[in-house]
Amino acid sequence: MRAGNLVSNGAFRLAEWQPRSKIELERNPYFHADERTIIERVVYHPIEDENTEFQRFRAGGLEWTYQVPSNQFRWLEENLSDALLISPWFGTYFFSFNLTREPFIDNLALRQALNLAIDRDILTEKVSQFGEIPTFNLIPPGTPDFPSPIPEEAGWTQAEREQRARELYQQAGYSEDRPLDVELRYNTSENHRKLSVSVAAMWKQVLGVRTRLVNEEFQVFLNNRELKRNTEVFRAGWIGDYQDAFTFLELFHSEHGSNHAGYNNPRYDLLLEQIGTERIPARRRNLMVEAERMLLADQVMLPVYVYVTKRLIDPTLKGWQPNIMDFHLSRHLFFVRTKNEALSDPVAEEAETMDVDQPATEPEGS
Amino acid sequence: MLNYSLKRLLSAIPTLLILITVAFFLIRVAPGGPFDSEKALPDEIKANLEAKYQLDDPLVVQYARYLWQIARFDFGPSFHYRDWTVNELIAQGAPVSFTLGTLAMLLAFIIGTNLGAWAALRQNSAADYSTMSIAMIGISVPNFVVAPLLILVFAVMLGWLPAGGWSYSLSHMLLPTIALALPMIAYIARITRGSMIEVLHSGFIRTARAKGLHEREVILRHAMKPALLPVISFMGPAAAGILTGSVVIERIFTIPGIGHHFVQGALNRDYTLVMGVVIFYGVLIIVMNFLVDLLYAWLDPRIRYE
Repeated sequence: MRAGNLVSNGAFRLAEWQPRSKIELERNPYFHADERTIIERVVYHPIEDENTEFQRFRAGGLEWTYQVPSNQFRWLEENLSDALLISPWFGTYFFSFNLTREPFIDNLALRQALNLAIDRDILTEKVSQFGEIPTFNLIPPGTPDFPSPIPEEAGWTQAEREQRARELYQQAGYSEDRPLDVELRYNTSENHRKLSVSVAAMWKQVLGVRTRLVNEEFQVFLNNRELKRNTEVFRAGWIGDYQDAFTFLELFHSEHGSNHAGYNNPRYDLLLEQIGTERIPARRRNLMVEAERMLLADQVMLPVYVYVTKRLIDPTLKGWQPNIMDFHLSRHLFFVRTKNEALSDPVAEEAETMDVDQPATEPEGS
Repeated sequence: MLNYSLKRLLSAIPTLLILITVAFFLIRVAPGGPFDSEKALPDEIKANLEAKYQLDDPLVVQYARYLWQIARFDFGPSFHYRDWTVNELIAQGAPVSFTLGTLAMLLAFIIGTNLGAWAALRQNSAADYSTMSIAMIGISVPNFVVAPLLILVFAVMLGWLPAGGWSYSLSHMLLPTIALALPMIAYIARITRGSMIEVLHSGFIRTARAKGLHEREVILRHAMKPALLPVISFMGPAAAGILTGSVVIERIFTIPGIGHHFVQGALNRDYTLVMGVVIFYGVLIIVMNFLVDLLYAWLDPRIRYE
């Protein structure tokens, strides 16, 4: 988008967009509450590499980052704890089963066994490491007016889950002598790789499952996932578009473009249609709870954790309010600097400029 | 010479045509499309987008249309940067990549040849061995290791230079230029040393010395020119190496050159952008090789092109 081609009525307007270089916003004098805006300009820098972004923050070139290096949690906590900000996000990381193909078609016990065999605490504490919240649900906590139907197994110990997983595995027709051969597909990313390797190891340890890990470039992965011809278990995830449970539930409608699991349950489709037309909030809520319960009972996916946002924020930048939708309006932000800092940094004093990193690509579930 | 130049330029046309054809079909064969994302588009919208960008025609028709387009130097609109044409994106990125590449080549050439000649004149001495060992390290350590190290030391620890970003100022250009030039310096130093030693042992140098010429004169006037021949022939492919090497450097230093478009364009399936950059690179490499051949003739009077 070029400056001048974007019609907007917010606190800032597009001043300049140089592809790959920067997006610069300037204060909009026609904004209805312009007198309350403090920062004059906001500059977004598209940076792909999380380490580059991190170094630029450390060198003082950025005031807020989009992400942090995924393998440096401990270092960040020890050395930059005043800048590190981690908060829950409206999204869930999960693995999905392809329900249109063997071995998962009509094999609920097998899907349940694989779901119970993974230890979410280990995955979040030792693998992803950034305080992600282990979950057995699709819809993240914090969804307004939505009491999540917590599945029974969430209350069990891991040993109990594994015991039940072994029983279900046998029930599904597999055993140590006749182990399941399954493929786990994920797109290129360090986090996806680590999680997939760990999940495969857990399946192997608890059930004896033999997993083939398949790593694909993002577009190839999307294509295969959509075709549903090659996939068996695959990496998935969703960040809610709006703060309502429906943004997650609709993904599993039989005709939804993102229903990569190929879930096709007329009762579920009917529920979604009822939710869409229901006007009474309490009834709509009950229908949505019922829909999530159905998805979990049918074990369409294998929820792992609730996403968190991981950022470095300059401690002098104030007005930042962590929120589940990860919306941060620049008009609420301002700098608090001591007189000495302000004097040694005349640019910041003259024009409040904020440099932030902008995601160069859409979140692909990091 | 003129005949030769014309012939070379004409032979570039089929080369480019093959390049365009292979690239055009390869990128289209790759799974996934330019409008795929985590959130699937409804079929109707996808069909509309494909119609807008004329992706719904048979591939051969698209190919013919594309050839006609580029015959008029029109690379079409970018699929990813919706408001920009590929011509504009290349025009924005090329000067940045050129500046960086040229500076790195210059730096590598000046330091590399001097270092190589210096080592050759002290053949088999401690100075020679240590210089060549350092050069070997320079060749072995990839620039994706060198670049973050430079950033860590000069931007984060010392705070002398910015950690990334771009402007036509020394402070922004210094670190990426060094990171890009370092492996080249090492190569050039080794090549220069080898060829210089060979030249110094040849008959015409012995004659020059026998005539009583000053050693300085012998080196600079008689030995340097022929010793540079292998370096010059290395510079053609090295220019290509700098271009591909700059992809990594551009990413690490967040420099808005065209190297990034090459990689990210392919990942985004931005067909027109990738094609534009491929053709641009192709032309550049052909021109560089041509210039190297011309330089060769100038440096070595025995070489004449007919």
